[in-house]
Amino acid sequence: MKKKWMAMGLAAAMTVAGVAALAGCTPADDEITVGFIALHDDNSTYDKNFLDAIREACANKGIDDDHLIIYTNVPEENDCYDKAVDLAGRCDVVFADSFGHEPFILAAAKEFPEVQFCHATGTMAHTEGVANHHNAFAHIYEGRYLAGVAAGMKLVEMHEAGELEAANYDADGNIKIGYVGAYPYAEVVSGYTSFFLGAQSVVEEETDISVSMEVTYTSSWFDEAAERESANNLMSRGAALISQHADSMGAPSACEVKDVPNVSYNGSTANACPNTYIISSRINWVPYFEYMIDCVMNGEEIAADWTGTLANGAVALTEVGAAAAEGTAEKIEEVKAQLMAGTLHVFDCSKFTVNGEHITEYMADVDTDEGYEKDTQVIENGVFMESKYRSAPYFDLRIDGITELNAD
Amino acid sequence: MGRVREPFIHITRREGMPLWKGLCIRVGAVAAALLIAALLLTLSAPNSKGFGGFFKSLFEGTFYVNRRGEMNNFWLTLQETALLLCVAIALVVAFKMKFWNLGGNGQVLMGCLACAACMYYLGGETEDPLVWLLMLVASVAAGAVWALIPALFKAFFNTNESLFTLMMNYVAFYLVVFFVALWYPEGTGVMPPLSDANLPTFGAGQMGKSLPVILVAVLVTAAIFCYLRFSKHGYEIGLIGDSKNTARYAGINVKKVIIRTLVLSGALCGLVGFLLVGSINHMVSKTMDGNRGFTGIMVAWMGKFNPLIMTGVSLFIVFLTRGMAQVCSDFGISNDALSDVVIGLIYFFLIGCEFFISYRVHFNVAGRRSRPAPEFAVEGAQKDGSSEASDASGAPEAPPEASEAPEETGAGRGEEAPAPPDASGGARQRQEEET
Amino acid sequence: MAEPALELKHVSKYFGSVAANKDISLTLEKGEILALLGENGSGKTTLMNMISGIYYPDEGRIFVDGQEAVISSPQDAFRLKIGMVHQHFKLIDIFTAAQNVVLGAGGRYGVRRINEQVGSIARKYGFELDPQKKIYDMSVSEKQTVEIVKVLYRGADILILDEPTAVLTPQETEKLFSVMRAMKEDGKSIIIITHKLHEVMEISDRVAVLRKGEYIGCVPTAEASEASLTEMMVGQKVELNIERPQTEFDRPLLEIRDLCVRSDEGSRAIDGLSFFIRGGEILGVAGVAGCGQRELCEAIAGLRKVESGGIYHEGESIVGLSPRAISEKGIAMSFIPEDRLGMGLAPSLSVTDNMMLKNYPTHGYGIEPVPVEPGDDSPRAKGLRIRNRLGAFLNRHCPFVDRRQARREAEQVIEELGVVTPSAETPVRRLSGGNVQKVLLGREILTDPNVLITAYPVRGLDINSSYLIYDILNRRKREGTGILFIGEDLDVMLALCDKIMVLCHGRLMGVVHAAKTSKEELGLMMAGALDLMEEKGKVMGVAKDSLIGEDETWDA
Repeated sequence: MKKKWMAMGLAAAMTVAGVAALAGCTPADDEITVGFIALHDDNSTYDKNFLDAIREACANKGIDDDHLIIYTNVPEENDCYDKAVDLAGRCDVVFADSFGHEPFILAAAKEFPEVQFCHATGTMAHTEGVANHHNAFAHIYEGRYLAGVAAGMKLVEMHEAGELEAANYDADGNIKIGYVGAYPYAEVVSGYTSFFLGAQSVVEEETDISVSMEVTYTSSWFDEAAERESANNLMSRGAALISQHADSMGAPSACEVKDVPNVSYNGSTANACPNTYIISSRINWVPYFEYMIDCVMNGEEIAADWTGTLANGAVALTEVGAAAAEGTAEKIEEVKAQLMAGTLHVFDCSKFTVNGEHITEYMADVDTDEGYEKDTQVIENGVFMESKYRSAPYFDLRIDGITELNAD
Repeated sequence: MGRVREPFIHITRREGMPLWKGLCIRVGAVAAALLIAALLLTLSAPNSKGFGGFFKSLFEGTFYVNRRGEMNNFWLTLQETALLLCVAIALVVAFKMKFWNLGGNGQVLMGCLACAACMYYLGGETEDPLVWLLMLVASVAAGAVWALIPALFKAFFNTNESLFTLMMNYVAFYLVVFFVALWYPEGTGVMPPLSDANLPTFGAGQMGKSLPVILVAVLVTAAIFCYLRFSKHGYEIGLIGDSKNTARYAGINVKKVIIRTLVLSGALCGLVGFLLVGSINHMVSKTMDGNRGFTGIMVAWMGKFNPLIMTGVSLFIVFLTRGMAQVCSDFGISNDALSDVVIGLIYFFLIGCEFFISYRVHFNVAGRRSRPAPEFAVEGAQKDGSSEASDASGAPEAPPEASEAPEETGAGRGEEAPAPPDASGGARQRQEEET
Repeated sequence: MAEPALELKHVSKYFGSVAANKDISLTLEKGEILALLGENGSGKTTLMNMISGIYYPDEGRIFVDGQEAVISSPQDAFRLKIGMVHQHFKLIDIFTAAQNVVLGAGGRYGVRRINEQVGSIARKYGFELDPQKKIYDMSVSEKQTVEIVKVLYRGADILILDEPTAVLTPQETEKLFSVMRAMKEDGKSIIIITHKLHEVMEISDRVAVLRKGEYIGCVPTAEASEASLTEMMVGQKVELNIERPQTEFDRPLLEIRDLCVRSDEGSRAIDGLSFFIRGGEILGVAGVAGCGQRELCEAIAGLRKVESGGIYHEGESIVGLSPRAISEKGIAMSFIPEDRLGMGLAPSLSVTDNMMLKNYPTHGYGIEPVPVEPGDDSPRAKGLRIRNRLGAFLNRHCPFVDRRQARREAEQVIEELGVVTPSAETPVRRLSGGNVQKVLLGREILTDPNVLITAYPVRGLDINSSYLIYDILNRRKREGTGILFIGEDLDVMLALCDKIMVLCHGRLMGVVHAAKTSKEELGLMMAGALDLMEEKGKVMGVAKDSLIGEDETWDA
């Protein structure tokens, strides 16, 4: 009996030792390795957007699967730090895709100065000054504005064809639209404000009325039931069109059921919602990833705050849906050219009011600190310079025409 | 002569099995499951590295040595095992009394919250050692209170403790959400790690960070083992769990013991929260419990409430989870569902093999029974041995209450301790009785 | 020669490594009553379970009416016209008798038609049964009748009755036997499982004896005697006499006055009961199942609240005391419920752990005091005294249990009572029924009680063990313990007890001297048909030299 135990024990020990030894052998090579930390996995549209982009970028740059290491479902806790450290031991550059990952990425960056750490939606790169820690985002508000333009076109078409009902107009005769947001902070506010401004520009140009928007917050990036509920609520309150900043299909499917046009985010919903899909804006991360990989390959410095634009393709729009108004595609090209040329600004202070007045100066909370101190003057030449002082948005003004239904 | 229909499958209870044989069967079950998992993943993964790669990655989850020669994964595995084991031990204290404390998650979370609150409000302003002490006291107390409430209701109103403790999990969850939103209103409800009042580490690197947690777990395991085995309290707990009537007859104040034991159970969970926040994360999030409250239940059952076996089971579970995560990462699978399926498969095999350890299956194939046939000749009776299952069941049905033993053997509801409610009493192949 | 109604050839059944039935071959002729006799644990019920389809034989074959049959479920048994009446009834309380009878027999029915059918079956065999009566209104013997009619309704030709008289009074037993004779006249074949010898002698045509799972033989009843049957059952000659030693009766140890106790359902389980037990006396308690015995035991032991009335131990009231306090006064209870392991023992704990159930709070570190001369004032002596006091303090507050002492006690009980167990650490549920009861009784006796309440101590035990238990009780009796003996077997109680009191629905029907009463009288009292309390001039249940003060009033 004892012999059996001994035999089994020895066999087990040998297996463990052998595999451990095998595991310990990391082939040294000259190819760079990329590490990726995702908050969820392919099931989340937010992460899927990143994951598809990194894979495409690596393929473009000739980095094979063995040199791209992806860790999924990494929560915004210390586990992120552990994963970052693990990746730092295998990779040359590490990327994390969620806001809450930042403190842990930063800590790892401090420990591994020879490895580059890049982080999307983060805010601390320009304040902490850690050389190998970088933030990235995009001027997504421009994409939203363009999406808003498409929405405006549709609204005008519906208005002129008489398809709108009395409930779709508010007390001042403006067309009502709705927006399902996640959290009441800058990134979301910036998004819906730019969308609103885009729609407003078209409607005011083509008609003599304007738009007004109602916003609800679901307190979650991904909550299908809550998003559907919110969309239904907004539609029952008379919204003629819905847009959202949320990761599930809750709102678009609600719109499809009620046959209300929908402007999506982060991906085209044309397949699931053929009758109501207008357009979608998204950040295309491939340009950034290619930039990031290039810098590492060539030993160059990565920008502390990289902000993608329409020009470098980071801000992108998906295809125009069948339900969109005629002439949408052309109009979008037209406005896009204006934005790229700099002749049109999204957050032109003359185009919106706050509490009835056009603002001329505003201190925004750009540097992250506990007190949420507003530290930087961001209005220059009558324009709110979004994403200039750091890549992540900081427009958090509540402008007139937009009502928050459940601000916390 | 008519056809004689015999049941195809005939199940009898085993008397008992030598330890080494049972171990071999369990190891075999795990090996079988891993092979199937390897097959599954090897065939379906975008970047499959084959069978060898599967096992290599599986072990790398724990044994990877990185470029700098560090073995972080090893310490992380031990750390995770320690946390899981602590929670499981906390639950066992209550389970031994047949008080089904399903609120491990909530109790851990409350410990986390209390600790984080101390760090948030007092960190940096008061001396660190004092804050540490307060953190410890607050976490333990918070966990204890969270278990005390259902205990009081059970003791005095005989409410269902499973439901109550389960619901408390959600309350704890939203309390954490509330406080994080209160402390950090701007943003997405995520709390950054605090830099003040972090518990000290015992050395450099990952080992230094994990060592305090591991040591605490070892101490807790040893202490609770002694408590349950050798102390009067432990005796009372075992007695109440076995037969409440007998315990009352022995003069034990059952209400008092229930409350006392649950306070201990919750306190231990709170201790885990203290470690999670003070030592590891330095912040609290609503998913900080990591579902250990439920995984711990599995550890407790599979470990048969024995702290020694439970240590092995936790280690195995953590090894498996980390290994599968590594496999998925290396094989280019970015969908967690597959990893969960595989882990579920392994649990299924492991728990399923318990059936074969407890029961023996006889097949009556082609008219020949697996037991010796009688000596005399059968006059012309056709043995139609095809599997007409008729009313013969293939598996023991859910046992009725008060399943009686055949008086002959008196081997009642013969189960190895602790008599899990699912597999007991299946000595008869069917429990139907006459109408 | 006609085919036998039922024939078993070399039937065996194994549970694990235990052979419950080994190579059993027996026959049941048509129109006969066969008694299947055997001790508890001999395999009778397992064998019948195989015939009725609950178990499946591991070996051997069964022939019904000359044709081989495979009985793999109760449905098969029904089709073969075999019906079994179990010890534990399977009836729906809120249905009527007729509804229970037709339950599961298939087909639709009209209420009037089934009442008629059921009524006619009952009348045919002489049952007294009201088809429209609801089960919850019925007595135990009426319920048993429903079970039998159920089986007859399905056309059973072979009936198996499993210990039918265990729950009946003597009068009801007589009625059952006359019904059985009527069924036999009608051509039915009956197997009656029993362990009561006098019943076997009275009703059966032949007797088949099982012993330890094996078939010993079959004898015509006419040629057998109780002694010869016992010898077959046990394997050796056995003295069938229960001793009743004469002792000097002591003053009353335990007195109950006008006790009222409620049952779990809220009804009065004990209703105005008064009795007393003296030291050195065995007082038996007879009554049908559910007459309040359990509640009485629990009330005395402190486990059930006393609604009104008094319980006095040596003159002091013990009502409201905790079970532990009552136990410390010397009142010990050993209660064997139907499921045997429900109270008093923890099934999963070892024998050792069960031994220390009552005294574990006093376990200490085992620090023994060092003897010191009283007059000694030397520093050494003073130091020793301090050490002794410290040791005692530590012992009192020791948080650990001391299993050594418990193990010694366990081994003592195992040895003295002949408990069959692999070791003192074996979980109690692994022991066979009789040994479980020995452990329980042994533990209670270890505490050297002055009042011992024992309920069904020989339930399910084989003959040898039963007699061992009687011996133990008699020994205690000789040492002056007052014993309250609650039992089911009237013959045993008539032999063993000094006095017998009868309860019916919680009320005292009478207290009689065992030597001066008869089974019939007891049977009448148990059924409530005879109430000795109403006889003028008799004051029952109150001791003449009661220790309780004069202010207690009681009715003459």
